[in-house]
Amino acid sequence: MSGDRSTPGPAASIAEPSSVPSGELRTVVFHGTAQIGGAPVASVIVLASVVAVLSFIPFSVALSAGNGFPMAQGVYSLTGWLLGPWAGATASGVGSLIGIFLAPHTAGIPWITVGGAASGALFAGVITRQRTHRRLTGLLAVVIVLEVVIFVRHAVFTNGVRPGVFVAAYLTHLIAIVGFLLPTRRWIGGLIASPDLRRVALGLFLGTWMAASLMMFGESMMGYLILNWPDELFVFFAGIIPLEQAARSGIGAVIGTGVIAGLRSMSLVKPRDARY
Amino acid sequence: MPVPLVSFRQVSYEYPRSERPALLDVDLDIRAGEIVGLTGATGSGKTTLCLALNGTVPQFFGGRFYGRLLVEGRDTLDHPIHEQAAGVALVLQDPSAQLIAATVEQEIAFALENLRVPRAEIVLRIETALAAVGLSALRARHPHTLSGGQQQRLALAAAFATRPRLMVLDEPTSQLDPRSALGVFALIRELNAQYGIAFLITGHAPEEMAATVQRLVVLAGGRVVADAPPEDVYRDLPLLSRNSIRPPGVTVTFAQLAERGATRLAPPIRLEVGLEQIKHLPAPRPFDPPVATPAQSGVPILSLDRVSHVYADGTRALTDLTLEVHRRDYLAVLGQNGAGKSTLLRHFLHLLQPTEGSVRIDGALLATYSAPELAQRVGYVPQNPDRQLFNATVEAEVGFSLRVLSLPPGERERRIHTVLDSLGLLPLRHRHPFSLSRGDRARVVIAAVLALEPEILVFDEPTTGQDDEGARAILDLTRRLNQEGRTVILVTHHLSLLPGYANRAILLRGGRLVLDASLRTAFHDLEALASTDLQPTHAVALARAADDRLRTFTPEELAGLYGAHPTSQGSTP
Repeated sequence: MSGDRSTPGPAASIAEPSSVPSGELRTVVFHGTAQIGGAPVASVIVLASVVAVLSFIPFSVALSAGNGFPMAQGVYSLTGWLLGPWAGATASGVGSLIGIFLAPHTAGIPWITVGGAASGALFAGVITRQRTHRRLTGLLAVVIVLEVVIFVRHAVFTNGVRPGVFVAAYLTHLIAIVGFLLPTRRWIGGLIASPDLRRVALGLFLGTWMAASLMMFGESMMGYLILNWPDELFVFFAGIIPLEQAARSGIGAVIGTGVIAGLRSMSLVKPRDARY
Repeated sequence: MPVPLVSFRQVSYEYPRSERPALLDVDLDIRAGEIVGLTGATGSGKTTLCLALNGTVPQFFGGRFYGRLLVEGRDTLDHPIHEQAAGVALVLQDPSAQLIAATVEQEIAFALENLRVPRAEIVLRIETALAAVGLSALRARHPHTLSGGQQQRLALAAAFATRPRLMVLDEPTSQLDPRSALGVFALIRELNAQYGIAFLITGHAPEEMAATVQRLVVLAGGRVVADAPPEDVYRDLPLLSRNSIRPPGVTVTFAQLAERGATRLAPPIRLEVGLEQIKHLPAPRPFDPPVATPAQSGVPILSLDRVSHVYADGTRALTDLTLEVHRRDYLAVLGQNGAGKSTLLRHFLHLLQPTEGSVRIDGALLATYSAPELAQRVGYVPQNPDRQLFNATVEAEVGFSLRVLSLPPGERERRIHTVLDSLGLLPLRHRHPFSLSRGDRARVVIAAVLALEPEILVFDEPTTGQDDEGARAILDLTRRLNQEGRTVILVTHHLSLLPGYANRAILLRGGRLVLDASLRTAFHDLEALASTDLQPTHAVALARAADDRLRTFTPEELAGLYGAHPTSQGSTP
């Protein structure tokens, strides 16, 4: 058969064919045009769908606005690490917006929910060991400090909430805020980028705790400005907020570790700002 | 000389973090209007080559790309994927994975809308595409309510509507029954003849390939090791054997006849040629089939008594079906898509309950078993392995159900090691299941089920997407398990693979039991086969053409009746 190139000649019969490519090595560029923040729109849609689906599942009996929180809150930050801050914020925001209509039982105050979802991914997207998105990081730091100032001013100085009670209620969030402003952020980003999946899981747990705390502190502040809940409720928060943060972090670590392990082994090309 | 439509020049490609190239120094041309087949062992690089044709490889996956690939004179690395998709339409191995719209019409319109085709033109193309694939009457249906064959035709219609110069079909019939597979290949020939579209078709369907392709390319380890007319490739049995490619049954039969000196003709690759040639050979010696093992008595391990099932929407899927399966039976369940095979299997697993009648294991109603108890009695390997994979490593996947059963760690480790070793998966135990080829993923699911050591094993199309060696390895394993005392129930469309494995077959049509007999009897009941649109295997068709009284059902048995040296006859009843 003339076309059969597998039949070796006498000299070739003892030599393994070379596995070294003989063609010219080319530069590989992704020419797709439909991108958000360096991530393919298709990936954004997929993760938005995941967020929308997880919005169905209530995961706690009580939270700031008196509703259960959706399981999706554990993966808002994951979208930031998978897609980068802008694409992640889009995926989380769109997913939670859909979730409001499909699962109103977990929606809380709708516009706060959508804004919070987007902010969770934005915060996560800058929790990275790389020194990228400096302006965004700086802007987010300013926003956080402003939130603390506004929240304390309104609760402590205007409504007379006892300072110790306020700190006790939001201690979990305040620690995360300090951690975000310090280099802790980059250390957690390093854990998420580690090839060791145990370190990835630890990074996702701590990173979700940090990003979700920043997100929830902002949501709580805005909720408080609207609802002005009494001092006694702050006392209740002191017990419930750490538990809820642990739940969010657990969800983020379990789902995130599986997803990152799968994505790494499937050899798909990463979005430009992916952090894993 | 005209410029080829596709031109690979020293193309090599390595996936990120891969240890070896998926394609290596590929030089290949495809001319306009040509139908080219692409075959090779599982993991030989067929899908990668397909994905390279519209730039998905390397643009979507990254990795290292060498050489130059030109499609219609344009370098695939220099243009966005969506631009290239306008000229090269890709139909994936699992058509349901690429159906996304809410109706058949919208599915065809989707790509056209993205290509900004004017509305009036879209309407026209939908009509043409639906008529071409025979789906006009189903235009308002949801794609996921269609049968496998209809979904395949819809995927082809959606691709065809974009008016591509090249259609790339990755294993287009691997999920289809024989009738649907023949329909898809007939459609390919028609689209090629009418519209001049070039096709690149990958797959392990030699009979259909032989009847359709003008050239056949064989890949091995990412290299092109053969590129010739299909006659030349399929007659080169050593080449096929080296590359785990199954030749057409008619070719195998005539090659064996030639070995025995019964014919000097080159083995044909199409059945109609073989049927004509065998009539001109001397008369074969008479054949006495081995005596079938008598049916077992006693309490059957699995029994269905007058089972009927009507779905909530009124669809009657099973009607008055009575069946007894005894320990150590190896039962093949045959029938076209929609014959009721899947509904039947779900009754074995208690996923469906009969509308009328009863299902029992060891004489006890299925409803009396708890889910864990049933899982240890009946193991189920589904057709699509991907739907059953969710762990991060092969080892974790196989061990998952054992952890749920709270087995001691030592016993768990022993079972995991045993099944991984028996399926050749030990070197892959730390890999992520989705980093494996489809064939290997199927073996992981089988391993996970075997680890539970169930008494009854139910396999739904386990050889789908497997190359010849992979299919034989899986069937060899089922035979070994059967010989060790397990009861095996296997659904398949690949009839030619069954001799030597199954000892009994049932044939379903429209939810009714048409036939329950030994495999040999079932294969030679041409009337029953015809009533369910199943084609007899090449070996059976040739035997009956040679002498209508012959009941041989393998090429070896038939060839043994010719020439000077009679050989021992097969032992499968």
